[in-house]
Amino acid sequence: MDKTVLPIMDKTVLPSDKSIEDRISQLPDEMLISVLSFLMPKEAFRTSVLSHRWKCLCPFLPRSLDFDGLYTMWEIEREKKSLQFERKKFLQWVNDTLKSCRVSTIDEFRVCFELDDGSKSHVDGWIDFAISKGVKRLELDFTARSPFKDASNFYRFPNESFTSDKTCIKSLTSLTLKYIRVTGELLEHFLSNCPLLERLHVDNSEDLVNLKIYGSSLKLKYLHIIRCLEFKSIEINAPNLESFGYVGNEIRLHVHSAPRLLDVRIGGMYSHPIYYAFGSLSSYLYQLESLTLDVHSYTYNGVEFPEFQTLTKLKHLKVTVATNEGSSLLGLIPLIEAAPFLHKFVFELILSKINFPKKARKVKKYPNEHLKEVEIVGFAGRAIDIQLVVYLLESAINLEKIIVNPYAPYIVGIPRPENVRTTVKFEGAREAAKRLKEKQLTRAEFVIM
Amino acid sequence: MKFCAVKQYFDDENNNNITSGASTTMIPLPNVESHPLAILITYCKKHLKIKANNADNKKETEKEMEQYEQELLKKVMPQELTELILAANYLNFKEALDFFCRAVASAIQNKSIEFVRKFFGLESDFELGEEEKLREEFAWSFEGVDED
Repeated sequence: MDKTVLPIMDKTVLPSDKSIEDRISQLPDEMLISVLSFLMPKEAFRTSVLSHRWKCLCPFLPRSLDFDGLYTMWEIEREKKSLQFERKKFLQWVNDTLKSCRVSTIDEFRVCFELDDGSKSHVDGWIDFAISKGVKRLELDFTARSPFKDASNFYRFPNESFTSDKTCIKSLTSLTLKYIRVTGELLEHFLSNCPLLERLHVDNSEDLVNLKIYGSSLKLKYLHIIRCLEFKSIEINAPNLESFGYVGNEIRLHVHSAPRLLDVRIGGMYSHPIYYAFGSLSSYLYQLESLTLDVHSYTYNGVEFPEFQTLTKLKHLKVTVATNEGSSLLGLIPLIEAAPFLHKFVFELILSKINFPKKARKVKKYPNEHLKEVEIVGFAGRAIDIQLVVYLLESAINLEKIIVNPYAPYIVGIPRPENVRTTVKFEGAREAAKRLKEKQLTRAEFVIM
Repeated sequence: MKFCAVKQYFDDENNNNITSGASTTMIPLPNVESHPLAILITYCKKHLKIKANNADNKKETEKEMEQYEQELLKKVMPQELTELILAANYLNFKEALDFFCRAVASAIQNKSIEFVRKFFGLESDFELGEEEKLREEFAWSFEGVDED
């Protein structure tokens, strides 16, 4: 849920004399709901007491309980606050709100705070509450930001309560679990017992080892498994799966059937390869519309992609590369050229300052007629990325927009409070971008963040 | 795209091959009063100006725009906000619409129902006892409210 910052209104003064004309009722329902959507759900529901019309808007308001502790977590990181103290306050806040909440159903239940097994009794209660209210989207994000967190201490998702039959679980459409210990068996249980489950996202569970996705009526559309370090194998038989993502060490990946697959994300860790995944997905590459790759390549050879079969339907390509200044990004070109209809290319660079000697590289330029949009995040203004940008600007003859963002990807990617000052990692990156813009290599709109 | 309704009008005109004459064309806007329209035009001009000044730094644009919006709110009477929303909606000016919706939300945040009623000029159309029942059902949402 977006935490929009509301503009500050100075002391709102009411007219002391005659009543104002009721103009607000002239607004259509969508506009009123739009105004209410900027309020916290609690406040929005209050307006149902205003009049019949406002009461009728009630069913259209999103019924969501979102306990977002992101800002507090950031302050703890900055050592402005203590985790122990803030955790107690957070638990109190959630428990008090749930106690007084008398809504009969909720759509979404989300908790975002660093919690571990020490808070087990509380979290178990919250899960029971959410299930009893027929929750559709359940998200527990216990991302550990403090360093050296012991993964065996993470919150353990209650196995016991789910092996018995719980009728209300039938409502679940989306399940997101981050930094929570959950086993493959439990996830498979969810998949068989939640007929409406469309979205499953698991991040950092060391208890996840194997996973079998199967079922002819399986509604699962989105499956992402991120950084589960003990994960070994997955078998996929999913008639409705549209988006599959895996980030981690090499695993046994068997995709038996995924006829609707459109979007894939593959990422390696610590220079582990990702190309094995393309073997497993080879029958589906031609139908993908979007592809996201995380490549870690701190070796001398830099970034190299093998010969690629044609990605005929690919429209969006996003590549995150963590590498050093000595390597060349021109190794990405075979990948770009394997997608003849590519519309948008986003490139994120995580550059370490270690310097390996540079390798000279000659590249033939082919005009790319379809590429319309390019975005570079983490632009450093060094030879390594300028080379790639120049190549793209010169070959993409129909380019409409290029966005150059000198801020590091980890700053851009993670939601942070609005008023946090961030600095550009590489000195002179913005100036280098401006110089590139002045060269006028392209007619496209050139935006520098 | 700002002022989409006006653009639509221009597009329609061209389609009908009406000679527009000099640079001044009269566009009828029957649903918009002159005062909110003036504010919206100023808002639009300022937005474009800030964007042009900070072409190479999107974050600066956002910051400056926020500062301008805060200043603007100090000058606008809260009750005018409804007019501004109606005008922005009619003109199909999305950015201004979002901004004024947020401003209204901010004005009624944490305020009692009586306040909100006076603010909007609303009359309660509930029967005796109906309102009481509703208040009870939503008791949990009435905690922490500013009393008038």
